[in-house]
Amino acid sequence: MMSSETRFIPNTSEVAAEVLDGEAVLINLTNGMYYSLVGTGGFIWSLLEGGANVNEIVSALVVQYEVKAEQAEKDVRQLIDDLKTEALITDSNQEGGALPSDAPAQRQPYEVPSLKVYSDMQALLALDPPMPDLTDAPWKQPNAKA
Amino acid sequence: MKVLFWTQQYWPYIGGVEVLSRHFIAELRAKGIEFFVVTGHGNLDLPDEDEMDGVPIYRFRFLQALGARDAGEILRIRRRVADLKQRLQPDIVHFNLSDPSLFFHLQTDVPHISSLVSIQLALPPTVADERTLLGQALRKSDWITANSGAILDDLRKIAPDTAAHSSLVYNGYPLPTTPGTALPFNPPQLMCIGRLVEEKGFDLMLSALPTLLARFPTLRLTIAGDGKARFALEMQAAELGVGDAVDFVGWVNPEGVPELLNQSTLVVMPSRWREAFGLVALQAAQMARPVVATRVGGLPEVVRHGKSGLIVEPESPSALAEAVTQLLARPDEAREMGQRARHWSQTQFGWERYVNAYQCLYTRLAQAQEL
Repeated sequence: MMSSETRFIPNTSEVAAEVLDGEAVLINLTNGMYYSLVGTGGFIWSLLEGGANVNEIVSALVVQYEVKAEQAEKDVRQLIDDLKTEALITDSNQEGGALPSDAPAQRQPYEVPSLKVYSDMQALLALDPPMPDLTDAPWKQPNAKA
Repeated sequence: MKVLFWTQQYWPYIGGVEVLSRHFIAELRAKGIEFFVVTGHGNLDLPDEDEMDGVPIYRFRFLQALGARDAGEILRIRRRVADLKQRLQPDIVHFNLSDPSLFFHLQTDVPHISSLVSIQLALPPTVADERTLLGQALRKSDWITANSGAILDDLRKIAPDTAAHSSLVYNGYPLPTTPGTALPFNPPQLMCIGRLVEEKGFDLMLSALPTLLARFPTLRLTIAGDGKARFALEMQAAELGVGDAVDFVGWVNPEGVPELLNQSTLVVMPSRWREAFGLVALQAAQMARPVVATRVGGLPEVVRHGKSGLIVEPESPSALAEAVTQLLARPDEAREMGQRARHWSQTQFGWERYVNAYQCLYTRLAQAQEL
């Protein structure tokens, strides 16, 4: 069982990850698997990137979201297990970084974080596009804007 | 009612789905439905926001961002799509399933907007897996349409839980104003139309050509379309010594397709892959052309073996040669098949039926959201 003190880092040698507006997209560059984390999932990913351990993540969740610590800890552990299973994070010996310290005026509704997996993205991208070699319209529609 | 119509590419791209979509939207706009189009950029240099035929077009670099594995750009596009849905407030998102831009639709799902997915491609077996984009999107959609019985059967076999919210809507196509002319037999003219990619099997038609030319020395084959296989096909024609009998005419303006079909004695669709429907077969039927097609996907539903054309097993130049010979050697039979094809193109695959089917679906989905 993972320690509450264990810290993690994104597996940056194999994974491209970005967070925007609290939502994360993760791409395993080795096998082409795509993942997404929305809502609480994106929030937790940001904390993991900052080097937070389970205890710190749970504390931050309880401050920001309408959730009890027991529920939050169970969900965080599950998400971390999922992220490790998919080789998106690894254990880290580094010190943790800064955590969000300000309590919001009102806590946000809580949703169980889940890692969405899109295992067929590479296969879909390999589908032949309709007109792959077309670089100029062979004809123009009269009323089309330039 | 407002419909956000999502399709991989839209005019001025001119694949079968692209042209069909443009006609379809014009028809339903005339019935009072408001449309917005979300589409990919493709390779052309086109503006992000545009308007065509009075329909707002929103273009995104979906495939470029996904293909480049650019997580930042993916998130920026996702935000733009979410903002667009929020701003337009459509009643329905009608997604034409043929590419992974579905990711952005799924990622910006809005509970009060109905989701209709129209399957335009043969489904991979991985749809059964809930860890796939296709699997998640199809299960989450409010309704799914397949454009042939073969594709609907595939869907229900692979993902049985979609049976309660899926149905068949055969493709339709507006009847061209150009009337079908008599089939030419002197010289006989074969026609292949489509993207020049391996999956279309045009190389098999070329392989069948020496046999056919031995029996019909004046025979000509026109290959209309372009793509990455063009050079290989031209080389193959030269190596087989049939180059003089083959015309590669490149892309043809959609408006010019009926006229092109009128020049043909019969149309050949030697596809290898599971064609979901095979729109060219329907266009040929509209012009009273018999079709020789392979037994793949929905093609045997559009081309009725022995009635409106001939169906042969895929990957067989000799089977293609035999079927083409049968039709060229019996002009009366070929003409009858063409006439029957034309009749069915207006009944089973009629345009009004197609448009009405989607109008009914839209109405039903919009009403369900109001309840």
